[in-house]
Amino acid sequence: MAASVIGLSDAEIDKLLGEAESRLATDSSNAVAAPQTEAAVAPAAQTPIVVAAPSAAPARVAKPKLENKSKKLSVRVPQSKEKTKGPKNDAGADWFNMPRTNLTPQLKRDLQILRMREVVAMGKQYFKKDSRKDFVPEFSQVGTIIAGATDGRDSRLTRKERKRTIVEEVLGAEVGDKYKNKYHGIQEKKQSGGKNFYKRLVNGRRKRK
Amino acid sequence: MGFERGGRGGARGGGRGGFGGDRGGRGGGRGGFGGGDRGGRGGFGGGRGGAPRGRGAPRGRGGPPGRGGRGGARGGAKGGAAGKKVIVEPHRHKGVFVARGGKEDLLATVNLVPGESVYGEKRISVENASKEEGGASTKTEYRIWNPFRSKLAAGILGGLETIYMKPGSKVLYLGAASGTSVSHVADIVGPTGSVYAVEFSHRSGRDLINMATRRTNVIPIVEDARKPMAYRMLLPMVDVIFADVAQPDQARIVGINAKLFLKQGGGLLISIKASCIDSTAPPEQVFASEVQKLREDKFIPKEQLTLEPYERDHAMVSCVYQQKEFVDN
Repeated sequence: MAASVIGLSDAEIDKLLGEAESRLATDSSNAVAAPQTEAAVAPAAQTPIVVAAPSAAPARVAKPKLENKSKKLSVRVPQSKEKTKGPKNDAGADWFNMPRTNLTPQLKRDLQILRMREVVAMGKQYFKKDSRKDFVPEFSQVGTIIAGATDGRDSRLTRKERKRTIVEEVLGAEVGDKYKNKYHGIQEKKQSGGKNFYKRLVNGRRKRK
Repeated sequence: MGFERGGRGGARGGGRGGFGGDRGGRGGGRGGFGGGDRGGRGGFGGGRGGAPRGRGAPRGRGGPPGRGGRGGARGGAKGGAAGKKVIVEPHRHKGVFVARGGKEDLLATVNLVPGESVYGEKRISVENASKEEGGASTKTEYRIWNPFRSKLAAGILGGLETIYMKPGSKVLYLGAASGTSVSHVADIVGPTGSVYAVEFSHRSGRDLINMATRRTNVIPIVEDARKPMAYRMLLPMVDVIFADVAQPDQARIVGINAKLFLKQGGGLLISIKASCIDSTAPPEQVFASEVQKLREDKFIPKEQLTLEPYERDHAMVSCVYQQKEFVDN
C-alpha cells in the first residue's frame, strides 16, 4: 500500500488531491470517495519519483530610493522597518520560540491529509472547515503523543501500529479494518453449529410450519 | 499569527451522554476532546463541604480510571492514542498551542517540566533537530489540555477574544483546587511569569503544593480568598485575575482581591456557575446579576460566553479593571 504511494510523483499526488478536493466541494454528500481515488492512483504507480522542491518564498519588493531629497540636507533617510526585519526564524517568545515549519514532502502529505480528514473519517465525524488559504502553517512541529500514567492499553498504539507520519497511520488503519472483517468472518464460522445457531435454525423451521 | 481559526480548536466528537442521577454523575459517554482521555470528568463524588470556598473533593479525581464512560463508541481507530503523530501549531492566544492529527484537534501548552505529567494527562514529545551538524537534538514537550477538566480551556475553545495572560504575565488564580488548570496557566506564563494560586481547602491545597514543588513559577497559597489581607505579603500587583471560586459571593471575593492586587487596566476572567449562586433563578438572570455586581466593582465587562458543551449552566465573563482597555505590556 505504502509502496504504491511512494511510487507516485509529487505533482501527480497534488493533482489527484486537487481533483478530490474539488469533488468534495461540489458534492459533500458523496463524501466517502476514498476508494475511488485509490483506484485512480494505482495505474500511475510506475512513474519515477520526482520530488518537487517547495517553491521559494516570494522576493521582497524593493524599496523606492529617496535620493533626490537628501542631496542638500544631510538628513537621515528613514528606513522602513520591513526591510530590516527578515522573515522570522521562529514564532517568538510569545510562543516559546516555536521553529518555522520544516516542510518535508512527508509533512506536506500529512498536512494535505489533515485538510481532507473528513474523508478519512468516512463521513462518521464532522470537522470544522479549515478556511486557511495556505494549508502549511508558518510555524509548526511534528510530535508524538505519549500516554499518561493512568491510560490503559486501549489508549496506546502497539509497536506495529506506530508510524512515522500521519499518512502512514491512515493507510495502516485500513489494513486494521481488513483484520476486523477477518475476525468477524472467523466468529461467524465458529459459531455456526453452536447452541445459538441451532436454536435459531429450529425457530426458523417452526415459523415455517 | 499562524493559526487563524477563530479560536476554536477543532471539532468535537459525538454527542454527550446522559447526565446521571443527582449525584453529579457526569460520567456518561461524552464524545469529545480529550481523545481517548478519561472521558471528561468522572463526577464530583465528594461532598461539597461546608467550608467557605469548599470545593469538596479534588477536581477531576472521581470516576473510574481507564475508559471512564467513554466505552465502546471507540472503534478500531484510536483517537489520541499514544504513539500517534500530531502537528503542533501556535494558537491564536499567546503561549497556547493546538495539536492537529488524529480525530480531534487538541489544545496544548508547553510542558515546563519535561518528562512529567501533572494529573495523568497525555503529552506530546517533539524532537528538534540541532542547528549545527552533529549537535545533540533537543526535546520540547507539550501537555494536552482537556476542556472538560479546565474552564479556561473550555473558554478558549468557546472562542474567548482574549485570555489576557501570555508568557511573562503575573496571574492571580482564585479557586486553584488541586492545581490541574493552574499547571497549564503556569505553562502559558512560562518561567518569566508567575501564578499565585489561592485555594482554601487543605485537601486539594496539598495537591496544589505538590504540583508547585516542580513548577517554580507557581506560588501556592492555602488561604481563604475572602481575606486577601492574609496573603497580601506574598503578592505583587498582577496583570490578570482568573476566578473559579463557585461561591454565592464570588463577585465580592473578586472585587476585594482586585482592589488589592489587580493593576489598573488589568484583566479578569471569571467562571460563573449559575447553580452555585442561585439555583432557583434561571441561569441567564444569574449571569446578568453577577455582571452587574462586577460593574459596581469597577470592572468593565467585555464578553460573556457559555461553557457549553463542556460545562452545564456555566458562563465565562471577561472584564477589564477600571478602564476600557486592557493594558498589555
